[in-house]
Amino acid sequence: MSDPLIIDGRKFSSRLILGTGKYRSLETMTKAIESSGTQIVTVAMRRLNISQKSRKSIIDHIDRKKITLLPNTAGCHTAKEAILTSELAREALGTDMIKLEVIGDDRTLYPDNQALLEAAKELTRRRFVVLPYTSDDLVICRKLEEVGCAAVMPLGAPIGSGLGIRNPINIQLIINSAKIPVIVDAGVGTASDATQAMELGAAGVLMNTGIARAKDPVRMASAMKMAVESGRLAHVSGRIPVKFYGSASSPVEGLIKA
Amino acid sequence: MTLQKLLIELNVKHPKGVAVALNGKVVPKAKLDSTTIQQNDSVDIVHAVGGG
Repeated sequence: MSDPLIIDGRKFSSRLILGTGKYRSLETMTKAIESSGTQIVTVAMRRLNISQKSRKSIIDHIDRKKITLLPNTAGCHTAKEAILTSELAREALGTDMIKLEVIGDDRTLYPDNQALLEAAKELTRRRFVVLPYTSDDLVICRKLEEVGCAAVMPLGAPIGSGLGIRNPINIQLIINSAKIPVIVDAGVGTASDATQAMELGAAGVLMNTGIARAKDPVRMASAMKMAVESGRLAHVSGRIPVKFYGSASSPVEGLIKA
Repeated sequence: MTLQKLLIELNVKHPKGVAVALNGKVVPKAKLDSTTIQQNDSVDIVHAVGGG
C-alpha cells in the first residue's frame, strides 16, 4: 500500500471517509460506498424502534471485511451523553474507534469545544481511538492532540452546508502544527472542495451530504474519490510558489525579430 | 426479569449490532443473562443507523 492513511497504526489506502446518512435508499448508499473506494464509513447510534417489524440493520449492508465502521456520537450535547454513546457503540459494533461529536449550537451544529475536550480526555483514558469533530481552531486541535486523540477533524464549514473550506488558512495552520492526522470533516459540497482540503495537506476528508444529496450520489462518490486522490497527489508533488508576474515557459533566446 | 428475557420478549433477535444500557451504564452481552431489571429501571436498547 503506497502512501496510506494511518490512524493509530491502522493503515487505509483510501483517504476518503463516508457518512451513511441521508441516502434515498440503502441500495444507493451501498453503490456510493463502492464507487467512492472508501474503507471507513461512519454510522450513528440510536434507540431501536421496538414496534418496527423488520430488523434489517444498516450494518448488514456494509461488508466489514473491507470497510471499517466508525460510529459517531452525533446529536450528543454533553460530554456525558457522548461518553455513554461511545460505550454503547463499542459494545454494539465491537470497535474502539469513535467519531466524537458534541454539539454546542443547533443551528450551525458547531461543536462545544469545552465538552468535546472533556469527553475526549475521558474516552482516551478508557482506551478509545478518538477522532473528534472540532472547530477549525488551532488551539483546540492542539489540546485534543495533547489528551491523546488519534486524529483531529476540523470542519470546513457547517455540517450539510456544502459551503466548502471557508477558512483554508485555519486548516493550514492546524495541519502545520499537528503531529496526528488532520481530517477535514463537513462542509464539502463538490469535488474541488475535497481537492482543496487535500492540497492543503489534510490526511483525509470525511463527507456525507455532499454525496448522499447529490442528484447522482453514485457518480458524485466517484468524483470525490478522484478529487481526494488528485488533491493528495498534488500535495505530495509540491506545488510551485505563487508569483504575481508572468515568467515565460518558452526560451527567450533566439527570438525571431521582424 | 433479566435483560436477556426482555430482549427476547421485545423480539430483538439480533443481539449482534445491538447494545443495552441499564440506568445509563452499558451492560456487556455476556452479562445480559445475569442482569435483572426492577420497576422504574431505565433501559436503552441501541443499534447503528445511517449517519455522518
